[in-house]
Amino acid sequence: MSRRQLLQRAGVGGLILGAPSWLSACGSDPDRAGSTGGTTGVSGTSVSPGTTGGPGSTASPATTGAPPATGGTLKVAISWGQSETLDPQAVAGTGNVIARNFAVYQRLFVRAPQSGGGYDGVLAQSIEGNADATQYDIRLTEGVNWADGTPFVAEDVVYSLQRILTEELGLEGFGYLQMVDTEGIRKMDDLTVRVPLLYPYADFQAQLADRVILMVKDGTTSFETLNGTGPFQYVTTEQGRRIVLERNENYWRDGLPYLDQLEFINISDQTAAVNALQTGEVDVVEVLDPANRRIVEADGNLQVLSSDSGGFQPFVMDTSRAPFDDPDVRKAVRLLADRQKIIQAAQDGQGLLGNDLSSPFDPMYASDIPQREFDPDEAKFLLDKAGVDRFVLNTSDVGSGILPASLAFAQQCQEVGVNCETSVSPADSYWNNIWLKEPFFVSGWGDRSFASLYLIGLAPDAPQPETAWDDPASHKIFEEAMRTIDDAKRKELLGEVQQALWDDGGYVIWGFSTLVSGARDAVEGIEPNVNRQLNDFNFENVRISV
Amino acid sequence: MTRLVALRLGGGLVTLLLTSLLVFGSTSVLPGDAAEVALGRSATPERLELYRAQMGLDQPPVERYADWLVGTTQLDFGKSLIEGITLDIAGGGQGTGVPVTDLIRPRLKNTGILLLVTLLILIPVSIVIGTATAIARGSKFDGFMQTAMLVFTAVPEFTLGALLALFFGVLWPILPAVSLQVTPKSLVLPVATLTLTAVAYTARFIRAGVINALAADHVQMARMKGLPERLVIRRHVLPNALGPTLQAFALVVGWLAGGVVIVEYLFAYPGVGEGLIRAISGRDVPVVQAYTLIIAATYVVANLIADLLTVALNPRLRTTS
Repeated sequence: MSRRQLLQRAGVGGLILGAPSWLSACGSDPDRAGSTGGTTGVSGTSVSPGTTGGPGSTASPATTGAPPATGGTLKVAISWGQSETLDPQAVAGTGNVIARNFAVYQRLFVRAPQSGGGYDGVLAQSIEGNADATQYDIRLTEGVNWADGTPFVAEDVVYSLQRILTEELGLEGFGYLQMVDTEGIRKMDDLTVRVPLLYPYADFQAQLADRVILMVKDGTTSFETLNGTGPFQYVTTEQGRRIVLERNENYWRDGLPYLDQLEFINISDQTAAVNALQTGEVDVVEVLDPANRRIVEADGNLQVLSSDSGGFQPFVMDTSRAPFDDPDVRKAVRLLADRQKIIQAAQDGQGLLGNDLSSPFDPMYASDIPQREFDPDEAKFLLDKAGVDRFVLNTSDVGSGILPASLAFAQQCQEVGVNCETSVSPADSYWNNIWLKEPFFVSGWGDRSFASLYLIGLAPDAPQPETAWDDPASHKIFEEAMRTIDDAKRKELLGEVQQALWDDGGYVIWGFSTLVSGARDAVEGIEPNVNRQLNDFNFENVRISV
Repeated sequence: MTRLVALRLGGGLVTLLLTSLLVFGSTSVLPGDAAEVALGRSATPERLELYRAQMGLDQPPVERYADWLVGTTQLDFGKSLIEGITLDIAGGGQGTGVPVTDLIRPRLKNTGILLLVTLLILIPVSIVIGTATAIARGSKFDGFMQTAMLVFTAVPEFTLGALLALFFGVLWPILPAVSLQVTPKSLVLPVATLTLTAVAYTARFIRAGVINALAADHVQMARMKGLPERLVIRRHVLPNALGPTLQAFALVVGWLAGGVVIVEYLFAYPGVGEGLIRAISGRDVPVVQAYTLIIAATYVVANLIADLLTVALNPRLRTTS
């Protein structure tokens, strides 16, 4: 039960029904259905074409007692940011943009929904690297077509990758594909693309699975009407209010999606969103805080959808700035975190315990490094030794649980006589004015592979060098690991890097978030997924029972 | 009369100009700009520069304000700095934001409906309650109404709204708890919240006015003439009581135009308030400007109308010119 990948059913309703209703949408995975409590299996979800034989083969009315329903409109109250750009390869930060992108466009690969699963193919079937990880051949999925009916081919992939790599367009994925030799990308045949790299990078598949590496049709330059390969077609946006999508009649997976229409709605106040859920004005609420989770749990007509994830909200120490340039101080700060209590305060006790290392679901995760325990005496000794008697944690309400976690940590410090203060800033300017600018601050990360996080946050030219991690030895081992195609060997090397980070790094990773959403009982087919809320915003298998 | 209107309108324009300066100044002082908000954590110096160049944010503030002012005098409120932007240098380096007027028109209409319905209910209800409690002052009915209204004045509108949503939306679900679309049913709770919060204020104002008027000499005279009490109230008391009350209503309209922000947020009502909050957190200066000007203009116009009506109701003020 340590890794709960369960989708909890709220209240007595779930117990009476016996089998959870989402079972109907994943009949191909009896292992998971049989053990709601402790599944570890690699799941064959909809993303591999072999398992999607249409609604008939996956529906299991016998276990749910209700016939599968198709059609209808699903209304989802979703988090909303300022940017609503329709370019799927541009910045995607909040639910509205990510979910809309994922409904209309698709990636070559996605990270598996469950722990240890590696990657599932969507628009690509396989990827094969050469011996020194400097060139990859991507084999595309057969029978995929765009919403306008034209086939999806190698040219589209070449165009999409080269578009992302056009620096002047300022697309977010530019940084994630920085190892690619843009000019060298070429079509081998209709369904094979060769991608040469500028330097060895053995974790390339993870980069391709990033949320902004979405495929657009060859030659697309404007995004007024969207033509994707995804299960839904874009209809309209009411700025800041609502996004309407409808079923893609040309979708390449037969019989999917089940829904006729999909709507994303902005309800800024979470209490209002839960009210709307209770009165049936929306069917799904993307994010529930602990208080609202209890409200949804207590309502017999609603279900809580919850999934562990590898997302984390660390306290970040800048290792280049006093007092955190002293490794003893960093160690002390990490010993001061009573992780279980922080998880209790921030996440109502839900979620995995953190060991100051990211990416617990990555096969490369160093699970053999011992769990760091709360040790105030050692911490105080180290702080005394370093002559530090006070530090300030800069925090803000920039993510569910971040503020309570920060306050709980500061309180823990004060209880053992360490003077840690919190400085709370307004959320709307936090990322621009506090983040990366103060020596000790909070941050938020989605689940990523360790290598990809290293590239973004820790490598010498990292675009988001939160901890200013400057350890030539680690960088060297990391580079070696990225030249190593052999998984076991690479894991060993990356293990050494993680050990160095565990010893001296700047992250306090106290826990991993649980993704908690709410839905009406009638909503089926939203499976747990460690990557993002609502099964990584995948609505193609979702249906509303009558 | 014409002179008065012209003077007041001129004054109103000055007020609007000052408001726009103030808002522009304060949004400039706020940390961050639209480029930083739009790009968020993925902002690199190059991208920020690109975004700012495209949106004209690299111009000095004085120039941007002047541009905006020139545009506004020609009823061109400019384009949003953040809504509908695609960062694309290949697209010619022109800002491609949604025109502000397109952005605010639907919201303006929704808020207009909300305010109009609220006023149509608020004004007659507060006149009736105010007059009735004044006539029956000191009675149990008056005492009860005073206490009840005190409660509604004391409870802030966000608490009242949340309670109403809880009772009528969730516990006894007869009305939608959020107003995602503007329908007669979805208007009930926001209108009720606004009305209940404002009615105490206006009804008490009217009550005081009526009590004053009841004690006036000419009212005593009218009674002594033997006029029926109903006629006394309608012909001699109410016109005199309404004069000062109109000012209260003007203030209430101004308050509603601003206070609607909270109620709209609470019920997720697609109006100006919600749009304003969004524009402010997006540092979307042209949109913030447009919204605040509309709210300020409502205030100015409401006061003007109240003044004119006061003059119309009180013959003594008509002779000034």
